[in-house]
Amino acid sequence: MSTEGNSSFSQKSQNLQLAWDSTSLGLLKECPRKYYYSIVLGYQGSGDNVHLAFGQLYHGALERYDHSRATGADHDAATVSAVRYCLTETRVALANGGWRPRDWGDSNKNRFTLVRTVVWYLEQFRDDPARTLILHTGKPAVELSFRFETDFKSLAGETFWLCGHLDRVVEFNNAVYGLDRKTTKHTLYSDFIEEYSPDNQMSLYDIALQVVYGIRGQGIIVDKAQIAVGFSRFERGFLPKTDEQRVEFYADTAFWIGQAELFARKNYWPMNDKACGNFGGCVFRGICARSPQVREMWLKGLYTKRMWDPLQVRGDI
Amino acid sequence: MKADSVEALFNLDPLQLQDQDIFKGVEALRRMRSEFLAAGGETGAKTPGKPAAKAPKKTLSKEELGTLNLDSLGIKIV
Repeated sequence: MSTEGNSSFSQKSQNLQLAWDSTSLGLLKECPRKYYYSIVLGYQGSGDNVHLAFGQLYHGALERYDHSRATGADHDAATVSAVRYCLTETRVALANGGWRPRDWGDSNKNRFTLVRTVVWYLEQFRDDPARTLILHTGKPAVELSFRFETDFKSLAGETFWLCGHLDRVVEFNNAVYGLDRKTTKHTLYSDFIEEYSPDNQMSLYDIALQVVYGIRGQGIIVDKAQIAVGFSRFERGFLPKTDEQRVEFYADTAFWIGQAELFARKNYWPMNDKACGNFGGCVFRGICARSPQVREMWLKGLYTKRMWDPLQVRGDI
Repeated sequence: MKADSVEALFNLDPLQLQDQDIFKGVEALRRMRSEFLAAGGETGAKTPGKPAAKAPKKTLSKEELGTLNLDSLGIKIV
């Protein structure tokens, strides 16, 4: 079984995912075939994904900042901790005992622009009115892994779960919001927030906020950064949510997960050939363009495998 | 070992950097931002004829900040 060892998949029903995060749910909605290749079979394009790596480091650095502030460090000291994280995480050790900087070969997203963006973001929001909630454990509410049980059941009676990672939970203007950070190479316009309304990831985070904290959150704040060669710029947008929108998203999610079970039971994963050109082109377009009998051979030759398990909790610090 | 510029921050082995070395690099990057702003650069988004999205003005009262009825969503906290 291709999903063997993946704790997010059913042990009873082959290829049926039980724990869903926004990435796997989004792929399923985009194209069932893409979901099958990427999540069920675990294929990914070879090479370093600069956008994923850059985003993870950017999030990690700001997480260090938030943790440092919550434990009493001032702005400067917390910024130093964030920058140290960036520098050490992009240090590649060499066999001869030396080191070299990590290089993605990208003029926009590289080691220098990572550190610059972190420092400029922290300057931009130095006196941020959005204050990080402090958990009862004394830790700041940043990079929170969540999972919750739904009332959706598989035909075999297994429970489906929703899970993921909230970047940060904040109090802003006497209301609670989830806050997510995004980066882009493209020009950042003030109405950028419209591209996240509606959005699979933001809707899931919003529901998780209600579940994790049991309070009525206002919605999601998105802090987006544009990473240019010579500068970084930022914009904050707000996604207020109503209970009716939450119920609608939840019902839609039940539908999509039901579709996934149907695909899994039939082991039939249809292509959405209207999505092949999205986001600069699907990474599997070259596979789907070939005749079915040779696709597996090309997948094995051109792609590497990794396991996407949304139940793997991110490390806490 | 002293890192007194942005270049030094990136050229020296991170494992050898002291906090004060990193802070000097941070200050250099902050100056770079100030110079960018002084030269007319913007660190906020470009506006294509629309105002930036602002925070909703309405805020919830303490009463409204009650527990959401999760049962209506069919969700259990675990």
